[in-house]
Amino acid sequence: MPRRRLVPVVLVSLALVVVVLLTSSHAANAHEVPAPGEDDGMALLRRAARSMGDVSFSGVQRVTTAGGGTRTERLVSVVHRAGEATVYGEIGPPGADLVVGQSTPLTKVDDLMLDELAANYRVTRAGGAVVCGRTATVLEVLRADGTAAARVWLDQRTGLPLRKVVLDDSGAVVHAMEFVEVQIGGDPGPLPEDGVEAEPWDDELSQGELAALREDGWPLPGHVAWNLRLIRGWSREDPEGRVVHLAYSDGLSVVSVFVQRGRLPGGAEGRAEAAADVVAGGGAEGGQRVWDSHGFVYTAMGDAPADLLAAAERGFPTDDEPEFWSRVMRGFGRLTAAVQG
Amino acid sequence: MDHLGERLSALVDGELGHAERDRALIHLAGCENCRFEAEMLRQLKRRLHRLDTPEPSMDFLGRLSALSGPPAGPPADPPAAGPPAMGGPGGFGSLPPLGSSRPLGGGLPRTVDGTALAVADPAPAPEPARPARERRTRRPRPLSVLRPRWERTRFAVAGASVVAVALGTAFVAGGDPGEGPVVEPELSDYAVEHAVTARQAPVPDLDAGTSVVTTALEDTPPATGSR
Repeated sequence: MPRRRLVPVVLVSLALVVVVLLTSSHAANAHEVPAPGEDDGMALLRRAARSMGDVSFSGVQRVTTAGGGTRTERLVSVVHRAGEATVYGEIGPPGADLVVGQSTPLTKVDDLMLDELAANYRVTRAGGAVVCGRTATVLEVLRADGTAAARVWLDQRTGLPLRKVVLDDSGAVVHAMEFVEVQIGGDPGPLPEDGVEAEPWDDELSQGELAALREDGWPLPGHVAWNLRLIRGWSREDPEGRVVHLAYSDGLSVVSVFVQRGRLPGGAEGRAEAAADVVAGGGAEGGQRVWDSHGFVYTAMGDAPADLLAAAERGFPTDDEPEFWSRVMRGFGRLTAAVQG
Repeated sequence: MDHLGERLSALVDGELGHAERDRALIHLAGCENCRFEAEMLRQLKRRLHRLDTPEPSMDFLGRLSALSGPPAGPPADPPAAGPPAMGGPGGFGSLPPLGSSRPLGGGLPRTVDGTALAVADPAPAPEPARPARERRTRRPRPLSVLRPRWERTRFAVAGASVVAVALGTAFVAGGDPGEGPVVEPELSDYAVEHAVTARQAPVPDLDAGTSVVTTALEDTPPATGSR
């Protein structure tokens, strides 16, 4: 081949090499989904979810939540009877125990959260450790850029989660649960007769019911952030009207958003801080936000990183949006309702 | 015998006086030539009357049909063409150049071997120039040019008006955005519901007796919201 013809071929080849190198060296975005790489820990997590239905245990858990400049730790006694219920009690002054039945809807939530976890993160084995004298397998939940979003310690013999730590983008602990005492297997003892039974609201919303509510003007987004999807929805009729509970999850944390028609007292529309002060008497928790907008009151809460909670909040209508179209749409809704009688 | 002559025409036109008309009619009764001539004059007059009936022009009919429907096709009268040497009515260059179809000296163009080519599609003979008056009458008037455009614009304006009225009505009906009852979210109840469905161990504050250790990490006050 003549040398004159070789020059452009070489130049084009060099350009292609540069493009390929630039593409491959591009730093992965932490919010890229799904996180690249092989999930070799998901099977263990699914086993852990199943083990809750097979293995009974009892013990004391330390629950840590951090956010808004504070860290809160609670010591909680836990009694879990496989296939029946889990009882959460107090350590210290006597009080009512909380009994959470092991119902099918809650088991389904476990499966949905695992699906979201697999969709958003990469779960890998990260070695072993000892928790409460039991050998555990450590799993790391990684974002696309390789940073850890959570670590989970699973009992090697039964698969039960012994410790779980959720981290924010900077690596700080947002929420943690760990056993400080645990007895696995055997009879954990009877369930308390005077406990407060807690179950999810009866009326679980189907996709059709969610769609009907959206048609009726309810703002019920199915996806509020890059990693937060609506996994379940419930509804309850209160004296003040219907309340819809939407559970969003990235697989690690759950952000609950409660939506109801109306407005907050004190004319605090759209201002979450003022509204929260009004509602909670100035003592609103860091992992909780309350605001109202365009005729709806929203309450968001969750043991999730602050940015996740804020992202969930941003997924809903706020007063920052142009008022014109929302008012026009509301007007069309009213006119239609008036025509239909 | 003295024939009626020019009085015959006046008789047919009814321009004779009473006595003159009687004398002419008496003459006609006896003179076959004048009777024939009078009959011919009457027939001619009837034909002339029939010819006087005005017929609607094609231009007028065309404009009438344009009123009841969209204008179809290009205008019947294209703009005045340039001279034949500049390409004729189709514009410059739309016709073959002078001499390309047949040699200047006349006859058919010839091939390389000298045989004469048959002219399958001779150039059409130039249309006789229409009288200037006819062109003037067929040229569309300014208002008739605007009329079809206005037809379309009228619908657009009507549609925009309907949309504007609908939006305005909906905007007014939208009313006060802060309607609805004043509600206070049941936070503790919601916290229990969240804890149950989140499948996490945090126990909601059932009462103040729960062992809670709160440690301030920073001096900043607890955040309650972003807005």
